[in-house]
Amino acid sequence: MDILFKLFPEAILTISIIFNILIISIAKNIKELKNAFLLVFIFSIFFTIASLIFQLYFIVSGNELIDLSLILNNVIVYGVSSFEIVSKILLSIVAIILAFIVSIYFYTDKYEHRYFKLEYLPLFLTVLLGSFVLVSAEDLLTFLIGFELVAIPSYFVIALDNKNKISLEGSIKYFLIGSISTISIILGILIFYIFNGNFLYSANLNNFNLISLKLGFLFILIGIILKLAVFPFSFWIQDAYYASRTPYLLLISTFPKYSVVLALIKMLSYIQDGYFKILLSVLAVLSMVMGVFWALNENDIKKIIAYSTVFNMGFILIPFTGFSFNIEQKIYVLSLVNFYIFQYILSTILILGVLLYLEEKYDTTDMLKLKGVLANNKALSFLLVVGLLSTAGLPPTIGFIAKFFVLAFSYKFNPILVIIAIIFSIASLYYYYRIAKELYVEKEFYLANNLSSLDFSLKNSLLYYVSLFGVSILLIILGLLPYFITNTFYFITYTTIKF
Amino acid sequence: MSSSFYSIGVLILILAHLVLPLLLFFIKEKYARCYSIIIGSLIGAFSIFLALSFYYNPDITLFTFNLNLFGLDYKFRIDNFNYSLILLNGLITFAFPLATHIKEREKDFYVLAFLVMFGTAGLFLTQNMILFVLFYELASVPMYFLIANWGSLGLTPFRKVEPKYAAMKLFIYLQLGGILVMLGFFILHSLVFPNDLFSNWNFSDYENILKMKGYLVDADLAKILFILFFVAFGIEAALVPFHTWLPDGHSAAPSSISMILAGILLKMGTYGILRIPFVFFNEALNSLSLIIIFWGLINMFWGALNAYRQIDFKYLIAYSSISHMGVIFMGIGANNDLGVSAAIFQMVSHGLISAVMFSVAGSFQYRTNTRILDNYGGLLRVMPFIGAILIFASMANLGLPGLSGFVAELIGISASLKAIYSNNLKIIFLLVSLGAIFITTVYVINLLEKVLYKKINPNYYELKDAHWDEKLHLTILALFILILGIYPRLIMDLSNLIKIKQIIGL
Repeated sequence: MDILFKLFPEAILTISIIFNILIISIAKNIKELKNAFLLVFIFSIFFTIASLIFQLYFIVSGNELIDLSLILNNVIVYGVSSFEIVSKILLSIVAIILAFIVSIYFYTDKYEHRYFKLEYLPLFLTVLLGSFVLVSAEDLLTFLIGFELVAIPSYFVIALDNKNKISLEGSIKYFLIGSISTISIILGILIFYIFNGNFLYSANLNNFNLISLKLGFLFILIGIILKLAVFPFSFWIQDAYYASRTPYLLLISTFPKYSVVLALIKMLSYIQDGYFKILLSVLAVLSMVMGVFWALNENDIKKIIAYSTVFNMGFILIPFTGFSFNIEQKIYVLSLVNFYIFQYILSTILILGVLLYLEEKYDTTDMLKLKGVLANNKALSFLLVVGLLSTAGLPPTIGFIAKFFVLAFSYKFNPILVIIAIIFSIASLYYYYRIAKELYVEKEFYLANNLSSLDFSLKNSLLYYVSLFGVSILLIILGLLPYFITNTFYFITYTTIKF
Repeated sequence: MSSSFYSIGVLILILAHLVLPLLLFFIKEKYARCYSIIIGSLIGAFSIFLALSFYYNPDITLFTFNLNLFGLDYKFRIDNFNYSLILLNGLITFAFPLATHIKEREKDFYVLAFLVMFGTAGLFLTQNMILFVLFYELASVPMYFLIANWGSLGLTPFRKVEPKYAAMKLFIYLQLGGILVMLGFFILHSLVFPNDLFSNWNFSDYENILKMKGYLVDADLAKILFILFFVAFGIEAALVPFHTWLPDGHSAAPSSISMILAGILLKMGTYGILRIPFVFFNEALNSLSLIIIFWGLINMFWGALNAYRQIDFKYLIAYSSISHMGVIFMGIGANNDLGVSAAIFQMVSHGLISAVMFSVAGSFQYRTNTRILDNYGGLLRVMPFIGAILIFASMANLGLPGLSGFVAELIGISASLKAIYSNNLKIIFLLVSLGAIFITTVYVINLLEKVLYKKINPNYYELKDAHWDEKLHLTILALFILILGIYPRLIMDLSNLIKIKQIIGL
């Protein structure tokens, strides 16, 4: 009973996945199935949220340390402290927003369900489950299970649009890259096990000086940054993003990034090693530089988002280099990384949400073909501009606050990296603003591919606008009340780390 | 009771800048301008009221609004630094809807323009570094859309300037400035409070340290930081090697946006210099004084020289703006009682004069569809009112006694002379600055001759003189130029170095 209480979110998700698969195998009438499907999905998310809020209640009311982690032989094997709980709550919020946007999209599909695939929602839930496991993982095997739960559905999700050869190609590429990263991680875990005798992260604390352990961790790091698309391993990302239809892109560009970053930071918090700090700094700089340079001359919005991911993954490695034995500093790193990646995911969702509409209506994501399409659409241009501002790190959005504090914190121990980051942040403004310029400022309309004569009901969908406006207003309000969210993240991390 | 009245007034001022324009979304497109004029007048009147009540009752504790939300101080205050700029902000907020001739997508235009005013008002009032950067970016981000969307082609002797090019250039430059300011704050924070992250971002925290220790950072570091902040804010305030975004931006922007750009946005930079490096690293300024003064002198001379050869009306005013910004830098560099007064006075004076001139340029462009000086001629005969205002503003621009430009230039130059100790340098300084003033006279007279007095172009016989809206705001702005010219104490009284040091507690 106790274990079930601790693993309540994961259990509920697993049950709803099984339930969904059963329904798919039974259902025949597509209309009926859609409704049943959505119902199940919303229910499972609802229960997850309910359980998480129930657990968060302990933190808020008792002002005590909440720790429901599974402990075996005095060692934490599955972390369920406030840090993980809140990360899961944020993941669930993102999932709910995505579920709304994507479900509405599927309901209003003008291609007669070409892009509505029943498999999408169970795959979606599996990724969510994998993210939960990744966030909670305290040892390498659990980490591997979570990693694969996140990765394997992503390969299928890209290929869901199976009439499109580009999608299939992208899926195969993504699969191959994913296999390489898994192989690398397994190799690293093997080395770890041979020299440490167990799989726990915390085992690194004492004997990380061994060169072989460093080698093992290097393999794991390569696997992880392959997934995150940090520079030397980011060659796949533009193809994978370009190949996937926007509703599928919404999935693969959010959860894997969030959960893998959190897993990486938990892993790194046990390792204070100078070499890895230098390595991460170099990777951060290369990523930011290449992310900007690739994106400058790119016309496809999806590819720009891919390169902006490369840039931001480089950016988020900057505070990683600040780990030290100083507890205060460790708390800052954990809370800032969590905060930064969360706001980045939200802004990406906003941009992709607008892109969903554009791709549906004009069947392209090339911004030269989309010139001026938002000039007379105030709502969508507002949403797009807020999303771009937040991704670019400009006020009055939350992206500015995240960037401000990450840089202000990192300046204290790594000023050169911060100056480089600042220079390339300015450079990155160019391509974000190019999107706004082509879509909003240019006045020539691209009429040749205008398919608005087809039945296209996304533009009349109130829920679509409500969910996107919800995200954008959240971004702005949190941007104007910056200390609300920074203090929350700080407090959560503070209550978690107690040694 | 009265204290709470004024402090709530400050809050209302900030909120009115944000909330009233957002209501535009609920108003029909054809009433957008009417509504904007009304709220512009309301906000303007309220700003002027607050600024003047501060002048008659200069007690900053009355004019402080402080609210701590989740640990961040939302502290806004009218003090000796900014009350004159709040006055200017109010005047421009009042004037720019009246000077607007935009006919398409008016709602978007006014919302974005008021957002700029919100950013500038917030920047002048805030006492917190995070909010300072936030308002700085808030004021500069909408500028891109305002210029790229509603702009028009500019012409220099050498090239044509597309609005989109100019907007992107302006945007990148302003972002560069903003991000350097941010970097400066990071450096300052990590030097003074190495162990904090979320706390100690208020100006007052640093002022308290300054009061206790007498200095914030070591003397050498202070010099480097002063130069960093000076250049960072200087980019925004058209410091000479970094000024090229300004003429392009001005000429591409619609004229009412040029009014905002010259009137207020440039002043964010100079206010920033005065508020942050001037206060925090005042000791460092003693050794940097000469550099800053001569940098300002170069600004003044280079701007005037460039203005002389322009063929586009707005380019000419833009370069004349750059020339006048030099006086502000000189005043700051002089670091004495007169210098600070001159800097603050010139901020207001130049804001008003350039706003009037840009408004006139906009009126001419609206009627004749051209800004090339050689295409004009004899416009005084068909447009006596606007012509007279142009003559008035030009006279203020070249420093006619009795108008505000004269006061600023006089005290700016004499303050700088006081701060220069070497006689040879004094002579060089005087010769160059007088040369700049002489060139100013030449190009202003040249401008008036080309636009107003030459033989009239036959196409222009039918043109109408100013409407009521143009008459209204031009008259009021001109009136303030005159008032400041004959009663400069309105700004001089409170904005001298002793008063400013008192409020910081030094």
